[in-house]
Amino acid sequence: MKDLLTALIYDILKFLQEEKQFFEFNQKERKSSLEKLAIPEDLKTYLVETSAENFQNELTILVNLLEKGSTSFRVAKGEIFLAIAKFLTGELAQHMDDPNEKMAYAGKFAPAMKDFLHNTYEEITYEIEKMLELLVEDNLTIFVQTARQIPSELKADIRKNLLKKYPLSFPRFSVNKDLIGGFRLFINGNVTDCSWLESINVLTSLQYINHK
Amino acid sequence: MDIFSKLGFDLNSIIQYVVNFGILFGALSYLLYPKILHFLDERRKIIADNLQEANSLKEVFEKKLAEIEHEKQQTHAALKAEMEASRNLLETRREEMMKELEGERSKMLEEAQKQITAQQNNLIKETEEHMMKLMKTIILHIVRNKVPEKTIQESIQDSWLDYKKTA
Repeated sequence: MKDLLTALIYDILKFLQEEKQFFEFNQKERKSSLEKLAIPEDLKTYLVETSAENFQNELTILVNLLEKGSTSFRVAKGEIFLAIAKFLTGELAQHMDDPNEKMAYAGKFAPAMKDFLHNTYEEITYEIEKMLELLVEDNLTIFVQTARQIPSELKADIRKNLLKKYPLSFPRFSVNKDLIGGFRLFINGNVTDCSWLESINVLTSLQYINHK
Repeated sequence: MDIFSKLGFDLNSIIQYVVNFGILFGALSYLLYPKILHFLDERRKIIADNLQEANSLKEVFEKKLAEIEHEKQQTHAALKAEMEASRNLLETRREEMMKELEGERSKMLEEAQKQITAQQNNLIKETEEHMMKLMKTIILHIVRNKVPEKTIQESIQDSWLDYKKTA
């Protein structure tokens, strides 16, 4: 994660070195200028909207964060952190769910991203969750348990839907064959059980029979 | 006179007899009769005294008898009352005991009924639970082993679509 974000900062700084007048542009000009930079869309949006002073301040905090980890502060506050969190829970999660999806990144960030995605699912998840703990206040823990491996389209749909409902959340997927069919959703300890096992348990419970 | 002679009576003899009798009567009246009369009087007095004493004794006895009778009646009445009270007490105690026994009996019957009902309910519950377990085992066996993989995959998709609609 550290390498990934360092590569991202490197690419941004390199771009700003080339585009010295970037922060003097208006938003439209910035947008067109950023077309040359192949980094995540959330970071591009951040660069379009932020000021030079704000960027400088937040970049200092981000570098500190990468250097010292969580010891410097509990939760980082700033637009750049929000953009990173959006990237982690959006684009990065999508690439993680579907490794075959083509990446539109370049510079140092593209190989860093590839390296990062070469880790195991658990390692990637752990890194993202650890970073989100630093970036998002009241970070939600969401688990999606399914009876079988699900296609990446369905994963993306689930993630998108949950992100809409719980912004900056990072749902973690796992397989539990005991569910037989359907899925289970854990949101901060609250369970929504849509599994076949639950249906069988309900159907074969005395309360259900007596109620009927 | 002749007539008397003819009939066998001798006047002289008669006179003699009368004189003799008179003498005897006089002697007796003078010597014996007073004593006899005195004795008789004494005797009469004694008898009268005895009779009076007997009467007074009789009266005393009668009085005593009446007292005894009265006492007897009183004692009898007291005894009867006491017996009645004892009988009533006994009856009350008997009724109380019967009531107590009846209460105890009802309680025991109620307890026994409760236990029977509880055991019946337990038995029914155990049977139902056993049946539920059996049903669950059968259903689980079927859905784990007989449901095609495609259906399971589809179930996840379907469940997610249902969740999206309700959430």
